[in-house]
Amino acid sequence: MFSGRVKLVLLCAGVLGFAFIGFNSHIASKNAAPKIAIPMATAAAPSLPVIDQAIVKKTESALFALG
Amino acid sequence: MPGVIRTTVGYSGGTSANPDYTNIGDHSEVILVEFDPLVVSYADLLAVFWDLHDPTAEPWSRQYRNAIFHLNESQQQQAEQSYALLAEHHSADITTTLEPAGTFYPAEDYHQKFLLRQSNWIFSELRAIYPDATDFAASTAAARVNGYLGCNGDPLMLQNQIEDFGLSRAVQEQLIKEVADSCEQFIGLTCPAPR
Repeated sequence: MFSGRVKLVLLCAGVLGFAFIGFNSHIASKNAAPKIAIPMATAAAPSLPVIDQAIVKKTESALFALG
Repeated sequence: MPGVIRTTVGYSGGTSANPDYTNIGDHSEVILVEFDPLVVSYADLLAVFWDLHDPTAEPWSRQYRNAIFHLNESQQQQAEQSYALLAEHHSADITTTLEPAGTFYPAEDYHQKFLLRQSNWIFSELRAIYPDATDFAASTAAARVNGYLGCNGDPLMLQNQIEDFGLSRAVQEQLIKEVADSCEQFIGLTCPAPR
């Protein structure tokens, strides 16, 4: 049906196609979110006190000696 | 005190480098107060500072003396104004000094939140939240609880805030019991019903 030259071109195209698909899936896996193992101890740590979660935009300091 | 975010005790006012408790040099024991200026002003802190000591008392030593270390020009002006106002009402000389702030050296961990550390049950629970000593010292909850244990603040404020400190119900009750037993303004105080 196909000449030898056409078969060779089709074979090369197929090989390149598979290589392209493989390369793309490799890049996609690298761009995906990294898998991070969360230690159980961290997950079980007590939550921060409500008062420590308050966001203060700006603070100032004062320094005293009170002997 | 509302608006006070954290407190750190340390050494300042001297010339020697890297003082510590056993080698304080010519420094004094000081407290660094970090505050939210939208809630409490420097003038408010000055008023509390003057109320907390006798400004005419002779200093016990250079380590234990009374001083305001101003951190900028605005603080210097406010400190000088409050000093002048106070001097008008005292016949004796004011021994409390006003000085520009130098380097602040935080004290050793075991000095931070000292009163709180004496109350094992409360301390253990807060320390479980903050295993790192620096995080513990920087906690507003730790600063507030330490303040209440030092008989500062008022009952209503404590009752309104107590659930925000991250303490279990049992330790909240322990805190109320300790301040009610030792502080005049907290006598008869009971733990509020959970929200």
